[in-house]
Amino acid sequence: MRAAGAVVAALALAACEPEIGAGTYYCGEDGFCPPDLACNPDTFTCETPGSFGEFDCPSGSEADEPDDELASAPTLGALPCGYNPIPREGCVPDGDDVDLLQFEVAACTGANPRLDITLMFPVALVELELALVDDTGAIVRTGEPCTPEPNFTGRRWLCIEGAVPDGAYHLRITAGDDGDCDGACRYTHYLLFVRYPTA
Amino acid sequence: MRALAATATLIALAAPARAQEPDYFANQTPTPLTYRIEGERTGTQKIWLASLAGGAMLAGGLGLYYNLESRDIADEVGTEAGAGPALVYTPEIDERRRTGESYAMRARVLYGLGGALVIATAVYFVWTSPDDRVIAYGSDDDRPDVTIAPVRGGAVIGAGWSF
Repeated sequence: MRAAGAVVAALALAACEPEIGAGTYYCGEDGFCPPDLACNPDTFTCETPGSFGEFDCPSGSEADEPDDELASAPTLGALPCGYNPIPREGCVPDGDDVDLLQFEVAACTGANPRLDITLMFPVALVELELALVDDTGAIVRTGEPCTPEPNFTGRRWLCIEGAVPDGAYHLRITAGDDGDCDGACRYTHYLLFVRYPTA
Repeated sequence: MRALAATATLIALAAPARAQEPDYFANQTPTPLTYRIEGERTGTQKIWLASLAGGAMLAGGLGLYYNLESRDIADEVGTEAGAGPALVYTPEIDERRRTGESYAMRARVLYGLGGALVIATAVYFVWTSPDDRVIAYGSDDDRPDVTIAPVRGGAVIGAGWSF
């Protein structure tokens, strides 16, 4: 009888519940996390509540401020052909912030010279909008979703890719209306890749 | 229980007195003849036993099914701390996690139920175990009922046993 009880107890313990460790998932939309975990806005991973603080822009990500106006936007200058720099890090600490970045496109030789711009920001925080605007502020192109599946980055991707006439352009990054946790997470940080491949 | 009565009838006739003969069996101790009849459960008891055992097997089988399902889901969505982030936590993953928890709970309940039924089966098996009957012929307790009825010219002697 005791042996039967032990078998029953062992089988009961063998029933497996999914255990999700802290830091093993990126937060979903609106900071969505498993029970007993909460979204760390800095790492945008699901962590033990109390183990992290409030959102803070990454160090150096606000170095280009103020960059809300066309005239005050930092510039990359003329993009060299085949330009493939390290990513720029930026931050949108509140929903009213606008980040602008100026650059110039010159004619390049090659099979397929084109702009290749990627903006990456956490899925967990407010969605960003990306626009390529000309010198007057008119929109030339807008960023299209290009997040890979499966997504191992924890970030949404917006892409602008294609040939554009020579000239001066700006990239404009603003907060959208979605994914802000009903206003509670209307901030984010991002990575921006501006490339100018020719092949 | 099957009962059978046997009656032996003798007609004792008046016989002439005979000369005294030696009694060769007078000093022998009679040894009772015994045999054992194995008891048998009633049909209702058999149905109950089969139901309890079948219920235990069914509960155990279902519990094992949910156990394996919950383990698969745990392997699918469960992660160990320190492994580093890999995927975005989506409502679909959350739904799988909740399904896994539900299956694990079902497995526990069914294992518990199955265990209880196993114990109940064992208890009922012992409780309803029929006693074997030992019948001994020749013992004092098993002497037949003897009846004597006078008839014309003699008497009728009858003996009845049950076994």
